Amino acid sequence: MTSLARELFRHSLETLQDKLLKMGALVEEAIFKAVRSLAERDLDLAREVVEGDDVVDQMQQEIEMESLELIALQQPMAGDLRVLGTALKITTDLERMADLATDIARITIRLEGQPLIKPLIDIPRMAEIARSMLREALTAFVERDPELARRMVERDHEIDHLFKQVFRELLLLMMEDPRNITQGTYLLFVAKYLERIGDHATNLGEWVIYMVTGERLELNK
Amino acid sequence: MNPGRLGRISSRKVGERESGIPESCPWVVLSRFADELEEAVLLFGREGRLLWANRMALHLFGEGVKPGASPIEASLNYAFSEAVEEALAGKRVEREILLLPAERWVKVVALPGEEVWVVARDVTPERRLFEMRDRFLAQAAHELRTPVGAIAGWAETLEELSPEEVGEQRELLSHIRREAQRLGRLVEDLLQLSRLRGREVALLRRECDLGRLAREAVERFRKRFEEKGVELFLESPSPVYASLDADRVARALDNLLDNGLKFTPPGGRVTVKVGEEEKDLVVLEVEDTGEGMTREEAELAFEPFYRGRRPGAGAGLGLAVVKEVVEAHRGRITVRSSPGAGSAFRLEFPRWSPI
Repeated sequence: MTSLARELFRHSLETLQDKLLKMGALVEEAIFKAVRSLAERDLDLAREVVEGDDVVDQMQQEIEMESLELIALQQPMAGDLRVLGTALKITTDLERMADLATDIARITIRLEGQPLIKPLIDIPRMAEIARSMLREALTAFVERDPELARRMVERDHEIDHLFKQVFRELLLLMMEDPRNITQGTYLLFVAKYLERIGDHATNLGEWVIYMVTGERLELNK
Repeated sequence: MNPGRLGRISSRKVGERESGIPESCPWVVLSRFADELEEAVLLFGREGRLLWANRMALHLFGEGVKPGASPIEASLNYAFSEAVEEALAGKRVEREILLLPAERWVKVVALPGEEVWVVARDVTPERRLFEMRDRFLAQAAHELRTPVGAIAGWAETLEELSPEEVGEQRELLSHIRREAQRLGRLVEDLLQLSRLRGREVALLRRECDLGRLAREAVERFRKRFEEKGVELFLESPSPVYASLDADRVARALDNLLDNGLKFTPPGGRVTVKVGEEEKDLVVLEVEDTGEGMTREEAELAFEPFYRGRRPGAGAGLGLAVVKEVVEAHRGRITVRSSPGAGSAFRLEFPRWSPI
């Protein structure tokens, strides 16, 4: 590449990375708002999350197209190619996370503001860990820091542990009183969605490690 | 202000001082001044890269605030980066955005130009205050509407009754009286709360015996406890003199005993303890063997209209009034509680009025 072409390529790569970060920030907000809407039975907030999903989908398509275009036109190698490959993978995980957040918001809407069978404690905690993993993954991506990525994926165990706890608790509530079953099932779904969000966040970490070191690690065991 | 001048600080690592530059240099003075501001101030160059930021920016947006960072790298916040980009495109932007993970609301103003100045102010406390006020008004209106509706309904039925139906008339009138009393209590509680909160009425502090106040309260409640089968104990050794507003403290005691009775099942026990700690602190404790609260419930227990898991058990103003009474005396209230293990409310009052 000539130095001008090189400069243009750099610029495109930076723009793409910014777009990816923006998408990540939107997903973080969607997770936060979805769980907040559930805890506070805030239907308006839930609808906001559902409507906001279109923007995330749109961004995913743009990132995919731009990455593919850069690969086709610039034929990057080594590190640059890995960045673009990572962008393609990360955007898919982010889009899935946003979908799961939307699913949680839909459950808020379906519960129609009825009082919860238990105060939510572990579920917001799961969401908080998932959000912080997402944020750390994005930071690791910006900083090109595989160590930060490695540390963040360890936190997925906490989410898995909380999921088991929520599962047992809800099961007991449903056995105690069959009237709890409808809501109990919905809340189980929410916990499962958050557990999946945690898994996707782990994937982000793995991809950042790959991007920086070229090694593929399976951290999600 | 001359942005070109400050723009040259781009080499300076954000949050650190550069050495070798005279202290009197205008931008050194200016940036030191900027570090003292309660607002975050950021300057983005025409390429959309961060040139300079003050200390508060680092505090509010975190580690991403580095020279050369793009708006999204600096904030990891979508709305913020959009605001800066719109300003770079020549538009003045003013909006409130939510910052995560801190969960803080920030009002952002981005000024357009070749370089973009961004000022961000934390407006979380104001927002919380508004939310609290709105919630309070909504709940107060809701609580007032229910008994008023019931009274109107019964009065209507009363009108339709024929003069002979004396029995029904009596029954309806007693319903109306009960609802009116409930309404009266609610209005009384609301007034208490707003007076105490507004500090409209000064406390009538007089030297009195806290032990005697507790004894009198226990006597007032004796019968109701016996009826429900809950034991009521008083542990009050010698007189405990303190300068208190006796009427208000009595009111707080009533609310605590009322609560204890409500949440303790038959066979349980409520204990009132009066004592002194150190020279200047008198302590009142009301402990029950009732349902107890989770940590989350305990945190909310003093919020007006919070009723825990027992909807219908009063308006949820009792403990809010207790808290206001204690705090008006410059005292402190704490609660120790866990589910199934009962609750203990501890009220500490300074013995003498602080002057």
